[in-house]
Amino acid sequence: MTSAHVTLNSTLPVDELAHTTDVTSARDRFAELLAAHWDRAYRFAYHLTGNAADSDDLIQQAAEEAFRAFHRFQPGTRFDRWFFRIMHNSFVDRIRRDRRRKIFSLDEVTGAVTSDAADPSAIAEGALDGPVLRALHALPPDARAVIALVDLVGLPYDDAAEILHCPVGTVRSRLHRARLALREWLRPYVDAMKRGDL
Amino acid sequence: MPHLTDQLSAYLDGTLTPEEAAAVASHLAECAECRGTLDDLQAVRNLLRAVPDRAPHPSLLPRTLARVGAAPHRKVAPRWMIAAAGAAVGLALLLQVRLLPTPHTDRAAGIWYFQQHAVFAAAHPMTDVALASYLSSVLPYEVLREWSATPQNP
Repeated sequence: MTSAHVTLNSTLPVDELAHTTDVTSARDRFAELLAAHWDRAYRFAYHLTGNAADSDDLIQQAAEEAFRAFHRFQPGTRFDRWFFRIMHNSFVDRIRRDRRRKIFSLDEVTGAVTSDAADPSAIAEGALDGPVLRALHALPPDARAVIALVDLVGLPYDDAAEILHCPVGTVRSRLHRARLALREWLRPYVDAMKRGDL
Repeated sequence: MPHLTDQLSAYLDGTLTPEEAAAVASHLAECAECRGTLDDLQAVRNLLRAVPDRAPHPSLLPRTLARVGAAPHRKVAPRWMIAAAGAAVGLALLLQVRLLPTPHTDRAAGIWYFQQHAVFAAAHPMTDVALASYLSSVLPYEVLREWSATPQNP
């Protein structure tokens, strides 16, 4: 199923911006909804791709696909879930097309984060996001997606499950395993955080 | 009793049912290893939450909307506003002609200036009109007359 065919069931919570007046064109409505969820969508794109250039491309591609499929969007459903799901589908398609990237299992990822994560003193200098982001981007894409949605964008498990098109139990297990992997890679920072040094 | 696995993350996030949460709490009371893991998971979550937000470039949204053809309609300015803007531009041009200094009072400097203009205009044809307008407003009349086509200065 391509992202253009994404539909959501009508039982989702109502999006407050989906009820615009009838006289507003679909184009203006799309622009309003996209703008309302733009910053969070960009955060998701950034943490999926790991860099600004790819996240710009991804979110633009997702916006194009979403606009083409906007006639299928049901007013009264959550635009953010709908758009995030399209964007995640675009991301997965990109990875599949990109043969230079290897999709690997979390079990295969060991030592992906270099030893520069072993200096928690850098955190005090405002460099916390560097090692954390490197560790995050060393995760396989499915684990990174669930961490991005739940821990970085702040969505609940069922939203993440809807976006990733998987059961809530899968979200839970992927999230747990990804956090355990990050714990190992970021051990000095985790210990510093537990001591209250951060 | 086996150690807890993904129930720990769910417990941390508050997504378990009350019964499940009570079972996890009961296990945690007796298992130091799982308590340690829970503390680690909480620290990981806090580290992730401490990552600064990545803000998109301000032009990305308008560029994206324009690209997908979904840019909102712009309201056309009222006619009186367009007329007022035109009048303001006209007045500004008039004042510029009256007020700007005439830096090249001698013929040689004026001709040199025009030569520079010609070179510049050839290199940057799209700016020619604007530059010519500016020069014609700042150069003295004598220079313009001297520069006009003559046998000595075709």
